[in-house]
Amino acid sequence: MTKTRTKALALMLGAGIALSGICAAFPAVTVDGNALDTSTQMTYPFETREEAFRYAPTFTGVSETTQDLHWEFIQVFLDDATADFSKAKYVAIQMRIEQGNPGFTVGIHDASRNRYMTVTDGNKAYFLSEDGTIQEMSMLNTELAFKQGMSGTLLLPMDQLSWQEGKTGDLTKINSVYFTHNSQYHAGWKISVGDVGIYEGEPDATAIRKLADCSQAERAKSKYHVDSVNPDCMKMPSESGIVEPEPPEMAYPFRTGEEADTWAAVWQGPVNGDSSQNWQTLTVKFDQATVDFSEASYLIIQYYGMVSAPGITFGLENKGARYSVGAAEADGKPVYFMGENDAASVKAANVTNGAVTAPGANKLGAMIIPMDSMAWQSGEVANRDLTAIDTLVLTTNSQYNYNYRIMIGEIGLYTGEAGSGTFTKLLDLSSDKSDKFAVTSDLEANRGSLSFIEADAVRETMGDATIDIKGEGKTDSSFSEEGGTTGNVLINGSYGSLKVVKDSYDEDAMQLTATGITGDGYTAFTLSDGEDIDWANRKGVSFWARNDSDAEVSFNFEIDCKVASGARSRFNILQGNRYWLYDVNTGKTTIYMTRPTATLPAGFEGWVRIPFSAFERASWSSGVSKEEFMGEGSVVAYLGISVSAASYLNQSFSINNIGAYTTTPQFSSSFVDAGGKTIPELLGLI
Amino acid sequence: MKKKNLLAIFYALAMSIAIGTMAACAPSDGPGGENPGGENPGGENPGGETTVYGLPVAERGHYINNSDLFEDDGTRWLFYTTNETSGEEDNVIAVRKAVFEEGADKGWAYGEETIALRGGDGSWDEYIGSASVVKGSFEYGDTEYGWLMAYCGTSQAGETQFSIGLAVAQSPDGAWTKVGTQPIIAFDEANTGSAATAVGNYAPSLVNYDKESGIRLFYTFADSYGHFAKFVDIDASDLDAPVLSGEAMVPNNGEIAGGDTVAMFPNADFAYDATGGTFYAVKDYSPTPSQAPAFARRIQLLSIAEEELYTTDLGEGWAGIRTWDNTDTPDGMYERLYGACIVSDAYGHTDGASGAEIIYNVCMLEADTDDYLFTQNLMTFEIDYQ
Repeated sequence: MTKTRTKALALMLGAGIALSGICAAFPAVTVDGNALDTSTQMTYPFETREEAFRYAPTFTGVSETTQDLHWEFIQVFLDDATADFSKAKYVAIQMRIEQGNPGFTVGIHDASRNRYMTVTDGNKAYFLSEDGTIQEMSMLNTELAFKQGMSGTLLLPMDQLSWQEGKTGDLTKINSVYFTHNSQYHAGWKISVGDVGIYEGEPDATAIRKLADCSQAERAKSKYHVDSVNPDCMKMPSESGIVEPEPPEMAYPFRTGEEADTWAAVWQGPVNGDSSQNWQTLTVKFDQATVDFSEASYLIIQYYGMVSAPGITFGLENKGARYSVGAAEADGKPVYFMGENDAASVKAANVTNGAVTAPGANKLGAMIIPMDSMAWQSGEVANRDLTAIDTLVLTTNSQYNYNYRIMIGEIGLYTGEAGSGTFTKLLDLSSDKSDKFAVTSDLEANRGSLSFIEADAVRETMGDATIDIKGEGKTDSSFSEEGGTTGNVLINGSYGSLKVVKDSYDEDAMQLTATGITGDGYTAFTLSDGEDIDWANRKGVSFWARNDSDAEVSFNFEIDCKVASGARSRFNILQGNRYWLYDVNTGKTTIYMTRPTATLPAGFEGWVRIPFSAFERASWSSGVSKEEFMGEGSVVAYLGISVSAASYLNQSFSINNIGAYTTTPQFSSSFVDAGGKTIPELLGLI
Repeated sequence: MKKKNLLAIFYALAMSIAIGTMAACAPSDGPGGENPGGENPGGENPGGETTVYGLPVAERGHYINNSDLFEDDGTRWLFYTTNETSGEEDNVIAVRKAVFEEGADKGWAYGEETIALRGGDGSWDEYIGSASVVKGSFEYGDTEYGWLMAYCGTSQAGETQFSIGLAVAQSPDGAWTKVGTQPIIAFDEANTGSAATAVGNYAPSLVNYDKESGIRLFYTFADSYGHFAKFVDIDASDLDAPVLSGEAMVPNNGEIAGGDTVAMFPNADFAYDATGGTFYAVKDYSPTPSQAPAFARRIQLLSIAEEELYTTDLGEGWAGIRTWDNTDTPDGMYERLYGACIVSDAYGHTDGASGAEIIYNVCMLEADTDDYLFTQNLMTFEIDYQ
């Protein structure tokens, strides 16, 4: 059975910490204050000297801090499924800092994945050395700072911990202790974690109650879980002598460049997790009905972990018989990943609990799965035949893995030795083959979805700008309406009209006019709602506009940016920011100022580019930070235009071809060369 | 009716800009004293045999402000706005030539004042001031000129709605010929917030980018949204048909000091370090209207990488080099510091590897003298750019 932790949850919760810098502390239990301090004399609760850590696993962090945020996560499950911590006064964790000076958020997990943890700055923890000395540790930014060489027992007073983000869990059903931190800030560390126990009173007044015991023998590997960019993060003592195979060296086998992902499938996991097991399954058929994998040395899949890093069980099926990393004998075997621009592959993960969790595969590339890292997992023995594989199967359990987004593109197999063998493409996506892909789940009510990257291939563009909202095909009654007559829009109080007019190119455009002042004094026009337009990683908003009045007119974009976690916030433009106007009649490009929002000078007709940096989150909105705005994985869930009816009553303006641009223009003049980055050049107008 | 000076600009600034309070500072005797020019600033025989070294001082009933000072081949040229008639506010643009004399207690010796430009009766530039001058190659009306001036002017007696015009000359001390009958940067009522009271386009600052005819004209645009710097590039080789780029707002991010919610860039002068690819600017703080005159009480020197002017990608923005306030004036006596310029070469260039000289205005408060407007004079700071 595949068993993976919820990466998505860790990311989501962790991101909240990173953004706020603080978490609200919610004392969840009433306990007496602890009496422990650095002068306390107490019996050391665990094995010491050479007896200590004999059977303890080691955990190694990333060698260098990562560019992208990743919450490194180490979880040590208790020997029993759960234990009652409600009377606990201290949690004791035997640990040793082998290398580096990492900081960790430390806590305990209940069975519902609620975390009781080091949250409150200034709260205390203690570190008991084997010689009996106790040093005080103070929480800062939810972390405890450890130093290389510390060896002993971390004592966490329960009254110094708090539930994460105000949630209240169940201290009677604690299943693990955990360590976590952001790999953007911590690297180069190695720790050992041994026994875990609790005191239900002051130490020595009460005895330690051991809950995870590795003092006499190595515990099962499944009693530990890691989610790390370092695929070799966890080492059991019994694995210390194992020689790692070298990653395969081969030429990158798939398409590269702008069209590299065309017609690839994007598998979006369900937004919310399930309370019990719910297997999400993606199946992919090949160009041929069956494929002979009997001589294959590697299964290679074009892959991109776009959002989160779910634990995926990769498998090949022949009439339902599955050859998979989910087989018990595959556990611990390596899987590799090679970015499309990388010179060589690297280990992405060791198969753990039947799944591949590969946070490092967060870019377009190739997942290279040695056939030796899979084995027959299920199905009728008669069908366990690699010569007639008919389906690639990816599964994950949305009880633990949800709100992920991964891209699966072309598929191939490799025969022979890496570098000298032969790659054979089994699924060629140079054309639309969306019928080869399908998603299912145990529970239909909470099922992932499938989309295809046709947008970039067929998405309407104009030079470097997308065209996502336009007047073409619209009529005066095409827009959302909460009142008034056809073509009149009433939203948020004030009246307005929206008509279809012609733009500079005799194409249909939308003319907006605030026609009456009521309510809050603003007229809002909804132009896109629920379409989840992808403007991620682009530079700003691009659109055609014309001021149809005789004075300067300003309007604002009302943009709801939704991020992978599901959080959604409203952003709009503030005063004093610089943006671009290219007037098609004068041929001049201006760097104008938002006065107070998107401003069209009188007489202007042409193209406008407003950088995303001009946008700020609305004061009443929360959830998505400015840093996340239009970041990787975000979408525009809503786009509207608002006009101050009081300021611009009956001042019409027209817009069309709203999208996002990827290249910032460059100012040019008779003696400053824009280097091909004038707006007409970027739009392909000249 | 006598023409007024540009003080109204600063009053208008004060109308629209947030301000801070200011501790009154009674003037004391010191350099300049209560009347920096003294009873008879030129001495017993101004312009006669006695040579006065250092920046010129306004005669009684006169003022000097909005200076532009550059050095060309060992000669300094100081342009400034002054009143032609004692006790009136009839602005003209004046120029003085200076030569350097070695020796103890000597230095730059400024010559007689020459009127370089007057406002045009009934014209768009009836009320003028704030000249900026660069050397270069400019043809106008089939005549080659070696000097170009930008100045601001308006037809509004209330000193709103300023535009910017050009003039040319064969020599800095004239004669100056206005270019055309219309401004090169015209006040645009349709695109101005509260047009009737808007200051418009003022504080022109020229840089001859390529030391030929490639002119960058910086200026401040002010209306109800605030005061922000802009620039436009001009191919000025043929001023009968100058080629203008689109206007560009100067970045307003970085270490800009001023006390505004949205960082403003009022009344700035610019200089260009072509070697370092850096522009330098000295700007006013937002002015202080709590006590007249509502001029700024601080100036700031900043620099920015040239490429940041050409993009909307947010870079480092302006780097603050130095801010000066009254404590930097002699005996801390002047509560108003404003209208500064960077001493440059004749092209508006400067050497970022060396030091800078800043010429700035001081003025007394109304609380100290009813004639405070006629206490406007120039002073100087020196600073290392680095």
